[in-house]
Amino acid sequence: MMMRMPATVTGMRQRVTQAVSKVLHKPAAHALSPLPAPARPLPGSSRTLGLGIGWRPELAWMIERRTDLGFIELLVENHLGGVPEAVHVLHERGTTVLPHGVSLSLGSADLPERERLMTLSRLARRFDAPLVSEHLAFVRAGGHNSGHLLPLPRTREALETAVRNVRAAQALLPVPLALENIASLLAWPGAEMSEADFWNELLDRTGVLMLLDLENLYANRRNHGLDERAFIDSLPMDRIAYVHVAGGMTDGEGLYHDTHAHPVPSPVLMLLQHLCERQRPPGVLLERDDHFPPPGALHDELDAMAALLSAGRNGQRPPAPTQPLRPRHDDVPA
Amino acid sequence: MNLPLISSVLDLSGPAFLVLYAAAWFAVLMITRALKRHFLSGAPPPAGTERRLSAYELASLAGGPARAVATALTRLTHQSVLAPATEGRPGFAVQQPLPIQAHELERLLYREIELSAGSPPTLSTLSRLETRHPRPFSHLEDRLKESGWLVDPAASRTRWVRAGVALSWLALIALGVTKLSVGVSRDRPVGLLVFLLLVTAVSLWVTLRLPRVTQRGEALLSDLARRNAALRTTLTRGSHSGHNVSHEDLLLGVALFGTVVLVDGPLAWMEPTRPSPSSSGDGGSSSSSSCGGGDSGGGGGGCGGCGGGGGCS
Repeated sequence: MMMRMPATVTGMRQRVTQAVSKVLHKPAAHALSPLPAPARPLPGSSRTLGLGIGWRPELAWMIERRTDLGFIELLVENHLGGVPEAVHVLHERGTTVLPHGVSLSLGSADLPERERLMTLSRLARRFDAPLVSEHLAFVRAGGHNSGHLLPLPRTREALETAVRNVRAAQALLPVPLALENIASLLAWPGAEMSEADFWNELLDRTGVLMLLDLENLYANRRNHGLDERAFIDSLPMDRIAYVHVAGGMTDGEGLYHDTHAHPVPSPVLMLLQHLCERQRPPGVLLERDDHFPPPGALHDELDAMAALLSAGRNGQRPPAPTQPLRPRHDDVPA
Repeated sequence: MNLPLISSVLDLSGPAFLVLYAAAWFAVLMITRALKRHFLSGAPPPAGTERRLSAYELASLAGGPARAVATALTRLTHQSVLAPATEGRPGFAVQQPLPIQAHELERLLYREIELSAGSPPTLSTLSRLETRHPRPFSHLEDRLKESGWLVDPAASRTRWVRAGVALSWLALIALGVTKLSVGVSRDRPVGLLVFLLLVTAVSLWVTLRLPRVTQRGEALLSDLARRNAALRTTLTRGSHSGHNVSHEDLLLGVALFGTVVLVDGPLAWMEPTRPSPSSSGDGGSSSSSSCGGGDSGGGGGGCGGCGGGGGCS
């Protein structure tokens, strides 16, 4: 039996369709009106995140002028000498600042370094952050730095090490820790469990939150055949703190690289849609680190993410981004 | 005049007088500072006469004539009216006709570049134009004085303040000199008193000097710099070579922060010797302020939100 859809729901669908379609560079029928920021709180907290972007100096002005951003991520290792005034001003304006680290190396055989944890703690206190985030990876071994986030072997021993290190970090941090799943070009042989089982046991035993990077899931599907939707479905939704969305590129050998320097591919937005259909995350954040496009392109990507997030809040299924829409010309509102 | 009191002060022992004199010096210093702070803080214009600060006015307020020149050259170059005389070198050459509605400062710069013989004029040489052609600069400053952003040395209020400051110090100096003559006549040591008199004379000279910008103007600049710190951050990372910063935002950046924001961008040739700024020291932010490029001869475009009434929204 056909049911007539309420006008409000139809309107919502149209806005989501327009926003997502702009990211796919298809013609838009008419301009998108601003979408409300979602308000689902963080796990164990009353605070919300909403729509966010990774703060980079090149984007500082664009971030400053976009008023619907609920949070930014501050890459800790880039600001050891001091945090730019622009970030302080954003914070004073009410934008949540989340310290995000890349060098704790929680998968290393050694315990996480106290000084790095103290740096994270200082920033968390300075900005009254509801959490800090890091990666489930290792970047050091035997005193050598890899310069890259390397995946952990999915073995019982590696899991025990990660559990120990995460607990050690949690003991020193003043706020909850969220861990991000990484993209990898290699997979260690001798896996004893699936990536989903590895993550679920880690989440269960440590109580750590998860920073779910959808583009990394997509990269791991492209490079290793990961079933990313099954992975998402296996996760406890109430442990997801926020979500990363980014873009990458495929090299000549067919490997997908998580570059943060290319447009967000539509399958990543589809993953966000899939996630939001299950349960809208407290926040979703766009990462862009290089080859910065005109602000309009980033605004379109943020609009699309906000649209999917808002639609997910109401429990409705956002329509697939296939409608014929026009390209966006209006960059930054004055 | 209370002659018995003065007489008793002059009869004080040397150390006691020196203590009293030092205390009086401190009191006069505080009084003169309070006078200047109170009367030269910058009065807001009458209600209903507030207006937006133009890009060239903001530049003039923040960095004087040289900053106004840099901002105008940035605008004309960005509009392709001017171009480097030699690619990548700091000299300017005329490339296109000047728009009819150009600001008088733009007309002055254009004519100077057009008529230059020999080596093309640079930002450095053009920044000294004010000494030969003061009118466009004084017009900008006049508007800033009317709005209470700049101190007007010719204003009667300013003259009264300076007179009050001078009289305060001169009274103290007169007391010291009288005591000096008493000390000399009594054949007492006067070295410390001479030293204090010299300090007083220097204090007179320092406090008679007027600040260029009023407290109100300083507060405005400080507020704008903080609210636009994000613009400075983005500009100094060279992002304006792409599309991340509009022409109006670039003008606002040069007017407020100077040509330091050009070092990593396509206009770096304008001042190639300046060292690249640190990326972490600035940052910042503000959403609402930007300089409009729509110049109509009156001011070089408006900087959003900066009302003459006391700040920027």
